[in-house]
Amino acid sequence: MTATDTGAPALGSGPARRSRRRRRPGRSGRLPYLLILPAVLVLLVVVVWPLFKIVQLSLQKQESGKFALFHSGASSPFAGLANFRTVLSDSTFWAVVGRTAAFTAINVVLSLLIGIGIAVLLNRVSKWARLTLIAVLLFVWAVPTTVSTQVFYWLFSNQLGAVNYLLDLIPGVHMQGHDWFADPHQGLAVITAVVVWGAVPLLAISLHAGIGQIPKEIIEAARCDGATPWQTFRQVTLPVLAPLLVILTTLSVIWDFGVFNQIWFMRTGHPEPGYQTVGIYMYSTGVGSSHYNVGATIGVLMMLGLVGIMIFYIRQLFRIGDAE
Amino acid sequence: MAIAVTEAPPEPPAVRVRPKRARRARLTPGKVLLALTAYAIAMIFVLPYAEMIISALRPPKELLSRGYLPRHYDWSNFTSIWKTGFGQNLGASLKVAGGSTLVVLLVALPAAYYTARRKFRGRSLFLLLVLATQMFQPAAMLVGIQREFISFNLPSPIISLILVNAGFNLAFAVWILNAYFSSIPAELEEAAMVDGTSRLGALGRITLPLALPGIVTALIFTFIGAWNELLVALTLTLGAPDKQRPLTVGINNYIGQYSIDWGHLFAGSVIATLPVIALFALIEGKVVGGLTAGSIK
Repeated sequence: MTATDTGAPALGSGPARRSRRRRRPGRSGRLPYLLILPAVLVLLVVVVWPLFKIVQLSLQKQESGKFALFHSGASSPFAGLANFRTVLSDSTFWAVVGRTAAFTAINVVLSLLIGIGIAVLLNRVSKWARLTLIAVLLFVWAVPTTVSTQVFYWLFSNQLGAVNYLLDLIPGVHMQGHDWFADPHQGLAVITAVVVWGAVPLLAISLHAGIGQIPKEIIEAARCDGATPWQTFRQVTLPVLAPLLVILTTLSVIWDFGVFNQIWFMRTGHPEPGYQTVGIYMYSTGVGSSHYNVGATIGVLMMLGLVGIMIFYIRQLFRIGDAE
Repeated sequence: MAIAVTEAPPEPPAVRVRPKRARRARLTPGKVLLALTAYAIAMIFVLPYAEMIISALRPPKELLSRGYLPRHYDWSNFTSIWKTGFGQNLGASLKVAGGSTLVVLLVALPAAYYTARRKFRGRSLFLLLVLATQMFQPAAMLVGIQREFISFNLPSPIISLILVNAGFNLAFAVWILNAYFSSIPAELEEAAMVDGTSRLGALGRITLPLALPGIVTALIFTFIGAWNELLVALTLTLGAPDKQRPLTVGINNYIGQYSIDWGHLFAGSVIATLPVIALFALIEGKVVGGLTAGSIK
């Protein structure tokens, strides 16, 4: 922390003092721009430039796949929308899009439902139970996805996994040696479990804090008026939580849409076609097989899709919020 | 929280799983059941990780045995793993996560402080740019990022990874710090300055300590984000020597397509989890407040 404590003020030291006289009217010359310049530079290099680059690449024809890594790309001829036509007429792409949409929807809904459930539980239990559960949730949240994915992979592995072993103990169920990953649907269900597992702690803790901030008088008033716990939750808690829920849902969609690590590890670095969501598909096309123009095109489409979903969704939620 | 306040007539015990009304001090079956549910959920969350630690300590020939606890513990996975180049991967991860956390704080603090304190032309444009980048994710721009850093030709992919991770975690840091600085009244600083402190002194003694939960939250988010990042690391270390690969990429060495070195994989996983847990343990109390500050008013 020492570096930041001393570093940040140092950046603003000289100019801050010089501009003190002019500060009152609210104009401070170049100082604000000096202070935000580093942030803008980092964003330009890391976000804006690659964004520009994928748009450019998506409009160009690929010269050679072989040397894609070292090919400068400067002389690539303009190809118009040919890449988009190729991608959009590819049935694999549409299968991937459908799979990603379903996967994202299931993950977001499940993690929000479980998150809300645990948040409500946290607000109702006694202090010790609450502190224990919060500590555990923080721990789970801190564990890298890499690690939790591997643990789940182990638990679901066909020979050594505890899940098969435990399920096999149930009379009438024969799961010995069952391969969860032979069928992509079952495999994706396992991956959903890991994704939800990793997403729940953050959702539960922030929703718990959100519920805690609701004035107790409102809840009590609802109760006095004879509202059932469900009605109180539906009519009082949810509307107050709406802004927080918008943020959390938005973030969840963005995160689950781009799930990569969990699928990548569960398929030991070689996801079969049935496991490909947009992120994996883009990686294997654009980076893995060096079709970088097609990869960039998929990236542009991903971006458009994501922005579209987000705008639609945020507007929907605000509409619901207004109605209530 | 309702438990402590409501003054409802005591209900006959039993019947309900979820108590309709919270009671003051009485231990009802419903309450006990809720607490048990909470503990059960906590157990479910912990068990797989316990299994991971136990498996890392299980001798290879006991891997197939069904006992939950191994007959003897074997630390050899934790000692032999350092011979597989794991230390270098760990070092690369620490550099990437530490470096990007430092960059984020150095870059985000002044920007967030100033945008929170003063209005200037371009302020909302800047905040909008930052918000927009929060929506983007490296996955979609991967090809662009790859080609950009090929053309930069930096000496080590670690530098590229520090930059990329800093960039994609900057938005969150700026927003949360901005929210924190806005919530601290400027009068506090002015009062300190009236009392004879310099502007910098006021900043260092009043504002930064008050904003500490926000700073810590931004710090943890960036560190964990960079520590867990795989996709960009995978792409930018293509063709790089093994020792420049962070853990998330390097740990794949223990996973073959047909056989998996479970012992080293789990030992590596345990070690990879430690820095993050340590960070959490150090600053645990400040996180929950930091996460939710300003989310609901």
